[in-house]
Amino acid sequence: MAIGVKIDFTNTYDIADVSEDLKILTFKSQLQNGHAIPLKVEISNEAHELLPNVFNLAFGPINAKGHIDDKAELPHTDYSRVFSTILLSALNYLNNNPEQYLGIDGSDNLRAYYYWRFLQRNFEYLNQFFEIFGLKYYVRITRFGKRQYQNPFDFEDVFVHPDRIVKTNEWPEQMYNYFIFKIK
Amino acid sequence: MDEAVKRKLEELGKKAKEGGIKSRPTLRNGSSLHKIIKTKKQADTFMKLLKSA
Repeated sequence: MAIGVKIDFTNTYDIADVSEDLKILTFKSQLQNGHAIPLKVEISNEAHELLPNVFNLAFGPINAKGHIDDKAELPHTDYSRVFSTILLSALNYLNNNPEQYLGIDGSDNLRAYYYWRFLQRNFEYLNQFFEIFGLKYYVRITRFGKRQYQNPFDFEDVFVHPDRIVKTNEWPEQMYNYFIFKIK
Repeated sequence: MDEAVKRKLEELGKKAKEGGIKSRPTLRNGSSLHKIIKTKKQADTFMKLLKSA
């Protein structure tokens, strides 16, 4: 994934299809090998039963089963255009559903790091449109086991702490696990 | 909002309204947040923190 992504909602790929409810959108990205690959952006159809306004957004190429492969690493020719198109679809959805939140998983530490860098680099631009939050998950330590193999973590007791993302030159103390967007 | 961005959103909205495909969701609600928040108390605390962040 490229670091130097510059978001510009006027520099996006042509949208091939968009669903009536704005939750699904497809477009083609040009790859470095000369091929074009269809990418899908999809917002989950149902919110969490306990978080009625929080929906998940995923994007990526479509696998053989028709699902989004959000772990795929593709050599795009224009990462800025790819991410501008993805975030334009989020902006479009939230503009029509201003009470909702859209969340994107960091999926792994490297990707979470890239997303954070990406948000920092484009903060002034994105801050015009979105409130952006980073979520950290904290697991409670119940006690230290008497033996090394005893698991001291209580994974049933996880605390989720959201931070408003602001422009900073400082490195975050812990990397965010999940990012949330809301329209301004 | 910038006029050019407004126009982009209007075009997208028009495309969805006039030629939008039927939504056939394939995405399961399998996000990490969905897996972690399991109780109403956790959800209420989280929303309170999110709104005040």
